[in-house]
Amino acid sequence: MNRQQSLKRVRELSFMLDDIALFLDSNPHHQQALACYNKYRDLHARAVESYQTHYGPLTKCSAAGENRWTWLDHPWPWEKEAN
Amino acid sequence: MWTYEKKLQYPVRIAKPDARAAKVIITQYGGPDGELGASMRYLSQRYSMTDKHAIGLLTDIGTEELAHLEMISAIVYQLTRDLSPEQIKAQGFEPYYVDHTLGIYPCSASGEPFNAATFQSKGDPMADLAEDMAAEQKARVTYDNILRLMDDPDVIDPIRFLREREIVHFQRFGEAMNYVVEAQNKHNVYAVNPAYRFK
Repeated sequence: MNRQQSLKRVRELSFMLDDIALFLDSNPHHQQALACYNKYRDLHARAVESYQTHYGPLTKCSAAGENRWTWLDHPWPWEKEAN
Repeated sequence: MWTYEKKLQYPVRIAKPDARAAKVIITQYGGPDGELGASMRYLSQRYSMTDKHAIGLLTDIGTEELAHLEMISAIVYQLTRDLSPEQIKAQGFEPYYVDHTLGIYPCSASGEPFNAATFQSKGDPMADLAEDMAAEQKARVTYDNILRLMDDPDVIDPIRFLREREIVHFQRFGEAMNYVVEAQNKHNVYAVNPAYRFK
Protein backbone atom coordinates (compact mmCIF):
# COMPACT_ATOMS: atom_id res chain seq x y z
CA MET A 1 0.00 0.00 0.00
CA ASN A 2 1.25 3.49 -0.80
CA ARG A 3 0.96 6.31 1.77
CA GLN A 4 -2.39 7.56 0.50
CA GLN A 5 -3.95 4.06 0.55
CA SER A 6 -2.52 3.32 3.99
CA LEU A 7 -3.88 6.62 5.38
CA LYS A 8 -7.29 5.95 3.81
CA ARG A 9 -7.42 2.61 5.62
CA VAL A 10 -6.56 4.25 8.97
CA ARG A 11 -9.08 7.04 8.40
CA GLU A 12 -11.92 4.69 7.47
CA LEU A 13 -11.39 2.41 10.46
CA SER A 14 -10.93 5.36 12.78
CA PHE A 15 -14.20 6.86 11.56
CA MET A 16 -16.05 3.59 12.11
CA LEU A 17 -14.82 3.57 15.71
CA ASP A 18 -15.90 7.21 16.20
CA ASP A 19 -19.35 6.53 14.82
CA ILE A 20 -19.95 3.27 16.71
CA ALA A 21 -18.69 4.92 19.94
CA LEU A 22 -21.42 7.59 19.69
CA PHE A 23 -24.02 4.87 19.20
CA LEU A 24 -22.64 3.01 22.24
CA ASP A 25 -22.81 6.18 24.35
CA SER A 26 -26.58 6.11 23.99
CA ASN A 27 -26.92 2.29 23.67
CA PRO A 28 -24.23 0.90 26.03
CA HIS A 29 -25.70 -2.63 26.13
CA HIS A 30 -26.05 -3.16 22.38
CA GLN A 31 -24.21 -6.46 21.86
CA GLN A 32 -23.93 -6.23 18.08
CA ALA A 33 -22.43 -2.73 18.31
CA LEU A 34 -19.99 -3.88 21.01
CA ALA A 35 -18.84 -6.78 18.83
CA CYS A 36 -18.44 -4.40 15.90
CA TYR A 37 -16.42 -1.96 18.00
CA ASN A 38 -14.04 -4.68 19.18
CA LYS A 39 -13.55 -6.01 15.66
CA TYR A 40 -12.72 -2.61 14.15
CA ARG A 41 -10.59 -1.57 17.13
CA ASP A 42 -8.21 -4.44 16.38
CA LEU A 43 -8.17 -3.73 12.64
CA HIS A 44 -7.58 -0.02 13.40
CA ALA A 45 -4.65 -0.79 15.71
CA ARG A 46 -3.01 -2.85 12.98
CA ALA A 47 -3.64 -0.21 10.30
CA VAL A 48 -2.15 2.52 12.53
CA GLU A 49 0.92 0.40 13.25
CA SER A 50 1.44 -0.31 9.58
CA TYR A 51 1.04 3.37 8.61
CA GLN A 52 3.41 4.60 11.31
CA THR A 53 6.07 2.01 10.43
CA HIS A 54 6.18 3.16 6.82
CA TYR A 55 5.01 6.77 6.70
CA GLY A 56 5.63 8.52 10.01
CA PRO A 57 3.85 9.29 13.27
CA LEU A 58 0.11 9.90 13.67
CA THR A 59 0.51 10.82 17.35
CA LYS A 60 3.42 12.26 19.32
CA CYS A 61 3.89 8.93 21.16
CA SER A 62 5.36 7.49 17.97
CA ALA A 63 7.48 10.51 17.04
CA ALA A 64 10.64 9.79 19.04
CA GLY A 65 12.83 8.04 16.47
CA GLU A 66 16.21 6.49 17.21
CA ASN A 67 18.13 9.72 16.95
CA ARG A 68 15.62 12.41 16.03
CA TRP A 69 12.09 13.75 16.57
CA THR A 70 9.99 12.85 13.50
CA TRP A 71 6.75 14.74 14.40
CA LEU A 72 7.71 17.62 12.08
CA ASP A 73 8.84 15.58 9.07
CA HIS A 74 5.67 15.23 7.04
CA PRO A 75 3.05 17.67 5.77
CA TRP A 76 0.35 18.67 8.30
CA PRO A 77 -3.17 17.36 7.68
CA TRP A 78 -4.56 20.61 6.25
CA GLU A 79 -2.13 20.46 3.31
CA LYS A 80 -3.56 18.96 0.12
CA GLU A 81 -0.45 16.74 -0.21
CA ALA A 82 -1.15 15.14 3.20
CA ASN A 83 -4.55 13.81 2.14
CA MET B 1 -7.15 15.93 28.13
CA TRP B 2 -6.97 15.58 24.38
CA THR B 3 -4.56 13.84 22.01
CA TYR B 4 -3.88 15.20 18.53
CA GLU B 5 -3.92 12.78 15.60
CA LYS B 6 -2.02 14.01 12.57
CA LYS B 7 -4.80 13.35 10.05
CA LEU B 8 -8.16 14.81 9.04
CA GLN B 9 -11.31 12.88 9.91
CA TYR B 10 -12.22 12.94 6.19
CA PRO B 11 -9.83 13.97 3.39
CA VAL B 12 -9.73 17.49 1.90
CA ARG B 13 -8.02 17.77 -1.50
CA ILE B 14 -8.95 20.91 -3.39
CA ALA B 15 -7.19 21.55 -6.70
CA LYS B 16 -8.70 24.92 -7.66
CA PRO B 17 -8.54 28.04 -5.44
CA ASP B 18 -11.86 29.86 -5.09
CA ALA B 19 -11.97 32.77 -2.65
CA ARG B 20 -15.68 33.33 -3.20
CA ALA B 21 -16.43 29.78 -1.96
CA ALA B 22 -14.02 30.23 0.97
CA LYS B 23 -15.83 33.36 2.09
CA VAL B 24 -19.08 31.39 2.37
CA ILE B 25 -17.65 28.20 3.89
CA ILE B 26 -15.72 30.02 6.65
CA THR B 27 -19.08 30.60 8.35
CA GLN B 28 -18.95 26.95 9.42
CA TYR B 29 -15.71 27.77 11.26
CA GLY B 30 -16.69 30.89 13.22
CA GLY B 31 -20.29 31.66 12.22
CA PRO B 32 -23.52 31.38 14.27
CA ASP B 33 -24.06 27.66 13.51
CA GLY B 34 -20.40 26.75 12.97
CA GLU B 35 -18.20 23.96 14.28
CA LEU B 36 -16.34 26.14 16.81
CA GLY B 37 -19.58 27.11 18.55
CA ALA B 38 -20.78 23.50 18.36
CA SER B 39 -17.67 22.16 20.08
CA MET B 40 -17.64 24.86 22.79
CA ARG B 41 -21.37 24.39 23.42
CA TYR B 42 -21.13 20.63 23.99
CA LEU B 43 -17.90 20.66 25.97
CA SER B 44 -19.26 23.45 28.20
CA GLN B 45 -22.61 21.76 28.83
CA ARG B 46 -21.09 18.54 30.20
CA TYR B 47 -20.60 19.69 33.78
CA SER B 48 -24.24 20.22 34.65
CA MET B 49 -25.58 17.30 32.61
CA THR B 50 -27.28 14.69 34.82
CA ASP B 51 -27.65 11.74 32.43
CA LYS B 52 -24.55 9.59 31.92
CA HIS B 53 -25.34 8.83 28.26
CA ALA B 54 -25.69 12.54 27.53
CA ILE B 55 -22.39 13.34 29.30
CA GLY B 56 -20.63 10.76 27.12
CA LEU B 57 -22.20 12.15 23.96
CA LEU B 58 -21.35 15.78 24.83
CA THR B 59 -17.74 14.75 25.38
CA ASP B 60 -17.41 12.64 22.24
CA ILE B 61 -19.46 14.84 19.89
CA GLY B 62 -17.73 17.96 21.30
CA THR B 63 -14.44 16.30 20.41
CA GLU B 64 -15.59 15.27 16.92
CA GLU B 65 -16.62 18.89 16.28
CA LEU B 66 -12.98 19.89 16.80
CA ALA B 67 -12.10 17.52 13.96
CA HIS B 68 -14.78 19.20 11.83
CA LEU B 69 -13.37 22.60 12.70
CA GLU B 70 -10.05 21.39 11.35
CA MET B 71 -11.68 20.13 8.13
CA ILE B 72 -13.43 23.48 7.55
CA SER B 73 -10.15 25.30 8.19
CA ALA B 74 -8.40 22.99 5.72
CA ILE B 75 -11.07 23.68 3.07
CA VAL B 76 -10.76 27.47 3.52
CA TYR B 77 -6.96 27.23 3.59
CA GLN B 78 -6.78 25.20 0.37
CA LEU B 79 -9.34 27.42 -1.36
CA THR B 80 -7.33 30.58 -0.61
CA ARG B 81 -3.73 29.36 -0.82
CA ASP B 82 -1.49 31.48 -3.05
CA LEU B 83 -4.23 33.84 -4.26
CA SER B 84 -2.84 36.77 -6.25
CA PRO B 85 -4.02 40.34 -5.52
CA GLU B 86 -5.85 40.19 -8.88
CA GLN B 87 -7.72 37.01 -7.87
CA ILE B 88 -8.52 38.52 -4.46
CA LYS B 89 -10.12 41.53 -6.14
CA ALA B 90 -11.88 39.56 -8.88
CA GLN B 91 -13.34 37.10 -6.32
CA GLY B 92 -14.55 39.72 -3.82
CA PHE B 93 -12.13 38.65 -1.06
CA GLU B 94 -10.76 42.14 -0.21
CA PRO B 95 -12.71 42.67 3.08
CA TYR B 96 -11.32 39.44 4.59
CA TYR B 97 -7.87 39.89 3.07
CA VAL B 98 -7.31 43.37 4.45
CA ASP B 99 -7.88 42.16 8.05
CA HIS B 100 -6.41 38.63 7.96
CA THR B 101 -4.30 38.36 4.76
CA LEU B 102 -4.61 34.59 4.06
CA GLY B 103 -4.67 33.57 7.73
CA ILE B 104 -7.57 31.43 8.97
CA TYR B 105 -9.74 33.44 11.38
CA PRO B 106 -13.03 32.29 13.01
CA CYS B 107 -15.73 34.56 11.61
CA SER B 108 -19.08 34.29 9.85
CA ALA B 109 -19.69 34.67 6.11
CA SER B 110 -20.51 38.33 6.73
CA GLY B 111 -17.20 38.84 8.59
CA GLU B 112 -18.54 38.92 12.18
CA PRO B 113 -15.91 37.48 14.55
CA PHE B 114 -16.84 34.30 16.44
CA ASN B 115 -19.19 35.10 19.31
CA ALA B 116 -19.95 32.82 22.29
CA ALA B 117 -23.38 34.49 22.45
CA THR B 118 -24.35 32.16 19.57
CA PHE B 119 -24.71 29.30 22.08
CA GLN B 120 -25.85 28.61 25.62
CA SER B 121 -24.84 26.47 28.55
CA LYS B 122 -28.04 26.83 30.52
CA GLY B 123 -27.29 24.34 33.29
CA ASP B 124 -30.60 22.52 32.69
CA PRO B 125 -30.40 19.14 30.91
CA MET B 126 -33.69 19.44 29.00
CA ALA B 127 -32.99 23.00 27.86
CA ASP B 128 -29.41 22.15 26.85
CA LEU B 129 -30.27 18.96 24.94
CA ALA B 130 -33.11 20.71 23.11
CA GLU B 131 -30.62 23.40 22.07
CA ASP B 132 -28.14 20.74 20.94
CA MET B 133 -30.70 19.07 18.69
CA ALA B 134 -31.66 22.45 17.21
CA ALA B 135 -27.97 23.30 16.73
CA GLU B 136 -27.40 20.13 14.70
CA GLN B 137 -30.38 20.97 12.47
CA LYS B 138 -29.23 24.57 11.98
CA ALA B 139 -25.75 23.38 11.01
CA ARG B 140 -27.33 20.87 8.60
CA VAL B 141 -29.33 23.70 6.97
CA THR B 142 -26.15 25.79 6.63
CA TYR B 143 -24.44 22.88 4.87
CA ASP B 144 -27.50 22.49 2.60
CA ASN B 145 -27.21 26.19 1.72
CA ILE B 146 -23.46 25.85 1.08
CA LEU B 147 -24.07 22.84 -1.18
CA ARG B 148 -26.54 24.83 -3.29
CA LEU B 149 -23.87 27.48 -3.86
CA MET B 150 -20.96 25.13 -4.73
CA ASP B 151 -20.10 23.47 -8.03
CA ASP B 152 -16.58 22.08 -7.39
CA PRO B 153 -16.75 18.32 -6.58
CA ASP B 154 -13.52 18.67 -4.51
CA VAL B 155 -15.43 21.02 -2.17
CA ILE B 156 -18.81 19.28 -2.31
CA ASP B 157 -17.40 15.91 -1.18
CA PRO B 158 -16.12 16.90 2.31
CA ILE B 159 -19.09 19.27 2.85
CA ARG B 160 -21.48 16.37 2.22
CA PHE B 161 -19.61 14.30 4.81
CA LEU B 162 -19.95 17.11 7.39
CA ARG B 163 -23.66 17.46 6.60
CA GLU B 164 -24.22 13.75 7.27
CA ARG B 165 -22.54 14.02 10.66
CA GLU B 166 -25.03 16.71 11.71
CA ILE B 167 -27.84 14.23 11.10
CA VAL B 168 -26.13 11.45 13.09
CA HIS B 169 -25.43 13.80 16.01
CA PHE B 170 -29.07 14.97 15.99
CA GLN B 171 -30.13 11.33 16.24
CA ARG B 172 -27.79 10.61 19.16
CA PHE B 173 -28.84 13.73 21.10
CA GLY B 174 -32.45 12.67 20.58
CA GLU B 175 -31.67 9.32 22.21
CA ALA B 176 -29.98 11.14 25.12
CA MET B 177 -33.05 13.32 25.55
CA ASN B 178 -35.22 10.20 25.82
CA TYR B 179 -33.18 9.12 28.86
CA VAL B 180 -33.70 12.52 30.49
CA VAL B 181 -37.44 12.40 29.76
CA GLU B 182 -37.63 8.89 31.24
CA ALA B 183 -35.90 10.04 34.45
CA GLN B 184 -38.19 13.08 34.73
CA ASN B 185 -41.27 10.93 34.16
CA LYS B 186 -40.34 8.76 37.14
CA HIS B 187 -40.89 11.75 39.39
CA ASN B 188 -43.82 12.98 37.34
CA VAL B 189 -42.25 16.44 37.09
CA TYR B 190 -40.94 18.66 34.38
CA ALA B 191 -41.07 21.86 36.38
CA VAL B 192 -37.73 21.45 38.14
CA ASN B 193 -34.14 21.51 37.00
CA PRO B 194 -32.47 18.19 37.98
CA ALA B 195 -29.02 19.79 37.73
CA TYR B 196 -29.77 22.45 40.38
CA ARG B 197 -30.89 21.13 43.76
CA PHE B 198 -32.11 24.37 45.38
CA LYS B 199 -35.79 24.55 44.50
